[in-house]
Amino acid sequence: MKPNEKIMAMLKSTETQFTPPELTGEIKIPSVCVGASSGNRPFVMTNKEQLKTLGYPTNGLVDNWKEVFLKKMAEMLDKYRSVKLFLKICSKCGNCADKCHFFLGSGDPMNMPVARQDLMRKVYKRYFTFSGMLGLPGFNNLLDTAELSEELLVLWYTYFYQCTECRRCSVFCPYGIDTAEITMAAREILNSIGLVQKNAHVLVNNEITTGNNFRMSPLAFVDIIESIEDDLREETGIDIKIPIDKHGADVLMVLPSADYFAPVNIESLNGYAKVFHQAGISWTLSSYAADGANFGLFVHNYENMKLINSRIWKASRELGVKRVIAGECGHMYRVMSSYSNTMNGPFDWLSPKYPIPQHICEFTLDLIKRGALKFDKTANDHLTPTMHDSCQIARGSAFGGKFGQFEIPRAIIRATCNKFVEMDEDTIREKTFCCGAGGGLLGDEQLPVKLRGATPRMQAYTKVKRENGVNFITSICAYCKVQFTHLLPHFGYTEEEVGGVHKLVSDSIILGVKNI
Amino acid sequence: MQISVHMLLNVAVYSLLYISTVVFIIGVWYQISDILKSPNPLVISQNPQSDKMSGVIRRMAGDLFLFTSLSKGDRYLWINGLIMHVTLAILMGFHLFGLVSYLAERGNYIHISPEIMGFLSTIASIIGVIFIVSLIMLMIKRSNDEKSAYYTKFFDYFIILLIFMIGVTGVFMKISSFSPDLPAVKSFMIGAFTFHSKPVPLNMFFITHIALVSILLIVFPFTKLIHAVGFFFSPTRNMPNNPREVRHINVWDTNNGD
Ligand code: SF4
Ligand code: SF4
Ligand code: SF4
Repeated sequence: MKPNEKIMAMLKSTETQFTPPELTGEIKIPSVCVGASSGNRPFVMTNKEQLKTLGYPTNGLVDNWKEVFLKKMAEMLDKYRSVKLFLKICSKCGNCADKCHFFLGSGDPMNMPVARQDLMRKVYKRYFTFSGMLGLPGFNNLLDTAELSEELLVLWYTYFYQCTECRRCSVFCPYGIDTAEITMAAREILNSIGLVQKNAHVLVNNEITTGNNFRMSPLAFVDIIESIEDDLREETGIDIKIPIDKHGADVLMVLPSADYFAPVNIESLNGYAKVFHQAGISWTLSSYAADGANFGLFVHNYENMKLINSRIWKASRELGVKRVIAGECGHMYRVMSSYSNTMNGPFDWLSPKYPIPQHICEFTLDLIKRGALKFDKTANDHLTPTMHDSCQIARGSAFGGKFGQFEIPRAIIRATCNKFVEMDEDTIREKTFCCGAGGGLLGDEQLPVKLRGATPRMQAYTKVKRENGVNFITSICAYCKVQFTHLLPHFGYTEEEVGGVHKLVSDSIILGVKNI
Repeated sequence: MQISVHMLLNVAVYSLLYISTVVFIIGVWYQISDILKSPNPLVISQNPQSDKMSGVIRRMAGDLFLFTSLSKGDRYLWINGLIMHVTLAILMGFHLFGLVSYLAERGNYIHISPEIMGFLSTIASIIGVIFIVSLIMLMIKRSNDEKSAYYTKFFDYFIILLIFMIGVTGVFMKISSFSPDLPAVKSFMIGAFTFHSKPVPLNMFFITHIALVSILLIVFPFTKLIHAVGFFFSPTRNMPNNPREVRHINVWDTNNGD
């Protein structure tokens, strides 16, 4: 049998169904259960054209995969200090072991961040250090090293796709070891030998070829936005514009495509539009950079990420705007704020008066503080919101100072709602739990994994729901929102219980009367 | 006959000391240069992180001296880990003090009364015992907790046992009936540092102590112990979070897309 046929058979999921546990409101550390989450794997990409665009092998696992594997791994080690250093210095203290939502949700020891890193560390020790190279295969257990084998590939493909790259583990690590960095490198190594995860990479491909996740033409984009504009006019009776490709506008607004596709997210888009309308600041979307979401973040493939990102800045130059504002999306904002400047900067054509890019929450709160926006808080009285900090923003980027990413959205919620309740301290802010579907874990075939990953967040939510009557999860990440609308029903809640910060703005803002 | 065995022993101890020191220095140097060979292409500070270097230094000092990040998780691990490292640092300080004070006294720069020396020695013993106890506590946690039992392998036990034995032999030397001849120890150590060979004090605990420390020095650069050095290079902790204001340059991609 060719290596590819063999591995494809091994990569078939054996677990496709999963019933989430009963919600008690308590996050318990499970007892170790070997293999509890070993049966679920994402689909492998087979579309040759897409694989070619992405620059990966097109016929599945390549025949000389061991060679390619080690070459790519050497490249990762040379390019990323994080990966090399983190493989070297883990002291196995174990502080991260019970911090991963996938471990908490499954009890599978391979989902302990330290064990996940070990999957790569064993290979590193075996092939890239003196001790490992000296060691005979028989001593693998003693030296804690591993030979390359098909079985190992299966473990890699399984557990590096049960990490949402949320960085929660790194908060607790004495040396700041970030498992996400290792996961990203591991995925790129798997990609290079032909084992490409399908769902996230379809989006990377779409973003490269068409500039958005949904392969829309610019015309289709204009259509969708116009229909949202129409609905907005009907709802408010006011002519609130959502301009597209307007040259010379002040602001280029960058959205994740979910913001005009998914109903929960559209409510946030309405919020942005109302804020711009009320503040009287001219703004525009770009049909060329219609989607700021960048799934290139989730693998260490710098070139693809950079290419996708470059559209935003080209559009901003083309349209002659003064500043760029990012909508509510975690990984989009992380790439835009933390990586753009390095990859595609410096952006001399934008005004240095504003942060490049600015986050929409920064923008809105600033207007609120200056008295430019007024709210009727009672419009949100049917809601008791809580705040789910999105990991890519909470731990991966920042705005408005060191703790701005926590304080600013909360300040907006307080300005637009009478009620607000925090979840347990251990589950918010820098210690926030992931929604369970970040890091490119998009496909429905991974539902069991996602449900397990969402369990800690759901427990924390259940607690405040029962004790404080909370009935709404606010988030500033497009994918958290989509994920929650998907998963909440599995836990017995309704999909209306989630929305963006700008949905609250949208529902309570007083339009018409100009305040400045 | 007695003399020649002693001579052999001398040669063995001295070679072990020198070889291990050389391996240690070259090993650490190799690891640092290996780490520095790979650049940080992007800003990956683990937020919330200060956007200023002063804030970054404050955070890292907290992690270095108080194990702040560790304290966010398991309290038992934090307390014992902290005690272990702090007592280790103090004990190393005592060793240094012993040598320096010996030199200073020999050169008639200072005179420390035997009472003070005795008092310091008692303190050192107590700290040594605390050190050993904290190691035992850590070992118990490692083997009893089913999570850590899963990822703990031979070398993790080996290292903790090695350090434990170094502590135990050290403390035993404080018991008068096992203790070596102190002036002989000091002149031997000074000899080792100044490349003037002096006879090794014939004391089981002392020789074992020295041998184990040498082994520790040899494995230090090539095992997880390198965390003591690597800590300072961790990009998630030592990068200020200011990518919007200051353009970070990726050395392997300087083409900005234009
Ligand atoms: S980055 Fe998040 S998902 Fe990945 S191992 Fe760490 S805690 Fe788990
Ligand atoms: S917390 Fe850090 S050092 Fe400790 S086991 Fe986890 S990754 Fe390793
Ligand atoms: S979707 Fe949201 S919670 Fe999930 S990984 Fe992304 S930012 Fe984090």
